Amino acid sequence: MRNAFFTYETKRILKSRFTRIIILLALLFPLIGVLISPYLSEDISTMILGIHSSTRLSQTILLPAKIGAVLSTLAFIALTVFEFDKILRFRVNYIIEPISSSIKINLTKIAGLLCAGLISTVGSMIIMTPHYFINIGSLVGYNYFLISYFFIIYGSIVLTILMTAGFYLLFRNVNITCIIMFFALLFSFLAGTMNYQYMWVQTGASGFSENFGNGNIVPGLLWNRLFGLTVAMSIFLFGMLCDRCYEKGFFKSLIKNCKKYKFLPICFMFSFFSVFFVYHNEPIFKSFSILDTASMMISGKSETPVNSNVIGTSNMLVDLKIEEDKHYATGVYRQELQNSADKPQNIYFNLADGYHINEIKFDNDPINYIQVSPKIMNSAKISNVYEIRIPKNTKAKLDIRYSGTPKALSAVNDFSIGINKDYVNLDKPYDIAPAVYVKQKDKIMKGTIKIDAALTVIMQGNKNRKISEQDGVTTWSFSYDKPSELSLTAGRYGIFERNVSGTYVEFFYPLAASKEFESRGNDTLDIFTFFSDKFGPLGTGNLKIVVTSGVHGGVGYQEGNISYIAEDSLMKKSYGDSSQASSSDTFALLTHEIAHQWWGGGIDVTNGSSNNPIDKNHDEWTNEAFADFSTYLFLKNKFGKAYADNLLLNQWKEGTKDLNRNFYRRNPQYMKKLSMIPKYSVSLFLRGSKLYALGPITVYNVYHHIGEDNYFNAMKVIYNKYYDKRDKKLSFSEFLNITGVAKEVAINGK
Amino acid sequence: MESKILKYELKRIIFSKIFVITFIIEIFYSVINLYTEIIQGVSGTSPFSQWSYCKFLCDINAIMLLILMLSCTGLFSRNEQRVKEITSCTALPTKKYLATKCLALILSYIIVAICCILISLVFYKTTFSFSSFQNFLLPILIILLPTFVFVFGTSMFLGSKSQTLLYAWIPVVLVLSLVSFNSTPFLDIFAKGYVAYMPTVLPVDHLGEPVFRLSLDFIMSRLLFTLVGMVLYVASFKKLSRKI
Repeated sequence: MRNAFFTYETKRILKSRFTRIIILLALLFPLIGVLISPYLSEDISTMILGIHSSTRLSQTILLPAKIGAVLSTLAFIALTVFEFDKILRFRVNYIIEPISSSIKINLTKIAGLLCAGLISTVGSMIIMTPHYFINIGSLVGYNYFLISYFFIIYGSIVLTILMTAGFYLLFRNVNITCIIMFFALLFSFLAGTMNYQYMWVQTGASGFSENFGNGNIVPGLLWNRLFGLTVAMSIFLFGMLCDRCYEKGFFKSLIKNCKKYKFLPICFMFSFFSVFFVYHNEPIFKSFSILDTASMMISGKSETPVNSNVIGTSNMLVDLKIEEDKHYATGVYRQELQNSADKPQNIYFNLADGYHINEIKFDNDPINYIQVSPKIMNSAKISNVYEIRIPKNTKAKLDIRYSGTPKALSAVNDFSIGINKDYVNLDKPYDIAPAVYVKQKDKIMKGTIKIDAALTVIMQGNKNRKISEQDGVTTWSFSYDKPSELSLTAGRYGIFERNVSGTYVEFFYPLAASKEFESRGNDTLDIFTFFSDKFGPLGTGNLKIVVTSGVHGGVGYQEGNISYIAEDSLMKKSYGDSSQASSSDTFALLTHEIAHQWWGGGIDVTNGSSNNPIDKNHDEWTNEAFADFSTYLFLKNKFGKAYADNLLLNQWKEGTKDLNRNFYRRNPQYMKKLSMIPKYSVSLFLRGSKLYALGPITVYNVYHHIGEDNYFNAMKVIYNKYYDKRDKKLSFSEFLNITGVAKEVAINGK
Repeated sequence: MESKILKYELKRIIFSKIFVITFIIEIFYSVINLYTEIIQGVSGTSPFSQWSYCKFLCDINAIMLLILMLSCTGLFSRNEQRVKEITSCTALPTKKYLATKCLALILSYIIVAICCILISLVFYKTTFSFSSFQNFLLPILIILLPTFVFVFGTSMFLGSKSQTLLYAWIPVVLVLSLVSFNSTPFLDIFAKGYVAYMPTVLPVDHLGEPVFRLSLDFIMSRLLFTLVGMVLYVASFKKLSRKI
């Protein structure tokens, strides 16, 4: 009898005309997504849908799936409300409520709707398979297509049905339910920047890499759905508890339902507490909200204090073993420390969240340590901070043994960071080894990395090489004199290597796509040769250009003698025709990151240590100004003036105009009126405009005034005077002195 | 007699569950919007510039119109149709009754708008000690009125055809409120794109603030929206009075 009711009701729902229309529409939504994708701006794709990567896989799978999920959510809100409102709409509640169990009715409706959702999802998979095949060319990675469609589209439908049903049962009003669900949808769009778990419709999946595996994208997707399910289940169960009993109001119905269905409140409580449990035990990221980012940026207090009474008397030795299959690393850190003070000294060290300390020994004796609370120290919000005590007047070896799975910060939402099967990205020094905060004068960090033989380890410094291989495990050495800039990238890389005027230029490209990336190796040589000729040779023994995973996509940065660029950025075409120049042109990004080897790597551009009054209030004066302007020079040389002007100069002019028109730039006294988040947002805008518009245009003005030949002569002078001299910084006033240009000309261009 | 009905209708709308919930959301949204978005100033203008105030009005208008459209759905509901059989037998002329109901809807919109505007005035006074509120009269007139007349007119017109059409119109309006059309005011019902775009191209005054100057295109587009709204309202009014 029970089964008959269930079957009948499910069939009825599936046979209803409205359900069929919704299924048909939901089938077509991903296809509609493909059709409208050319008209979607990058902002919508990034901010609303949370897609950061422009790899082919991301654009072929994620974009249609996410658009499909958003549209399906809207459709299934309508269908769920329509179905649940039927009893009230046809005024049969007075017949049904006294004679039937509300749980049975509601669960049957949910089952019918879930079936409809499943049919539409499977249908959309079938419809979109040819699109996948045409774009990718084979069925390689098809499992990601299936996983994405199932968890993104069907996941959003399941959550929509449960939440809509829950809110309807709670309020018994179609309009209110629709409004709440509309705001829930908006919440999913807007709150994603705070925490990816809030993206209950489109999920936090940012992209798929074509060459380096997909990091934590799939676990992230599953966790997204688990968190969403606990929330949706709680809402639905609470809605069921509040379902009105015959002739009873809200509270009386709640009490009666609790008494009648004793397991229901227990299920609700379990589900409700699961929400907090799942949220707080998110396994991929260390929780670091945008509020923390804002407060740290505004207060500027993020550093762990250095105890200068304790001195590091030896180099730092690190041995790290990475087991990428287990997403796990085990390490040992050793350094000799000296406390010359007459009192014991407390020192701090940072280690990435996810690692735990196995043992700390000082002078071969185990010592105690305490973990510093984030409430006491700001830097403890970013990584784990430990405090240990060094006895007075001692000189002995500190030995820290640690192991675990390092986590990235949630504010970044980069699923490629961490230890993964095909790709390792430990982008912070404390992801590799403890950062010990004592006086470390001229001390280097060196050691070994043990990892699967199939992976190539890339680290800063010139001594990063393979030293042995045994049982499928390779040992790599490394040595670097700026431990605070150390990072580790490992993957299946091929190397394009050339010796250009004494410097080894190494281009690390994904081995699986060697054909596609080969030409980029020559591009890097062109860029390197241009800058070497115009500025001076790169002093370091080797320059590494590393293609990184496109899971997060669109990024480039420089750290030490390595310039990183995401795989999706290099796949975009560069246009020689100036009319097609656009900000997405990533030849510029590659050039910019290589230029940083001179500006930031060799020469430090800052007003920080200058006492000259001219240099006051010129915080646009940074390495970015020269890296960007050098990019302009290279592009002008390669593609012509019109191209470079269109791509960069016009952008700088626009950016500077926007900056100078900004109210808070004109009236900085009003900044104190702003609360934390708006202050962060305004500061970010002002800083970005100064760095990437005002700074480069200032250098351009000088260049324009003195001419190209004189500018390059001045660059040679700057190179000889500042290159590789750590204590000498190129300030604005010194740049003006060297070029012989007046301040007004540099700022105003005349 | 009519004022009694007006009071009753207004009470019915204001104390309805849906109005209360959306009103709370609107108030909450206004505060968040003022303290996080508007305080930054639109397109680099000051937070108390007329452009920034226009942006605030555009932002809140979407939810205010959502409340209005949802209240409109009540006018075309099945219950309402059934009640009409009784109300049409009373001494009150149908047209007057209908006009009173519409007036109640308009008043409910005005009440929400006034509350939001009052909140914004308190914000400006307490945060920036700014009190030249007369500057905001033109933005209120140019941003709220045409959009209100257009959406109200279309909602009444579509509702008079079918309640489903009115329900379908609601998400369309919400989507339009999220899209920015920059320099194409004839598509930009909410003027959101226009008020963010214009300060970037207009000349600045002696304080460096972009002047508040509306283009002829924009004024024409507002007049057109108002006119279309009024025509549709009159058409629906005639149709509804005939129906009864």
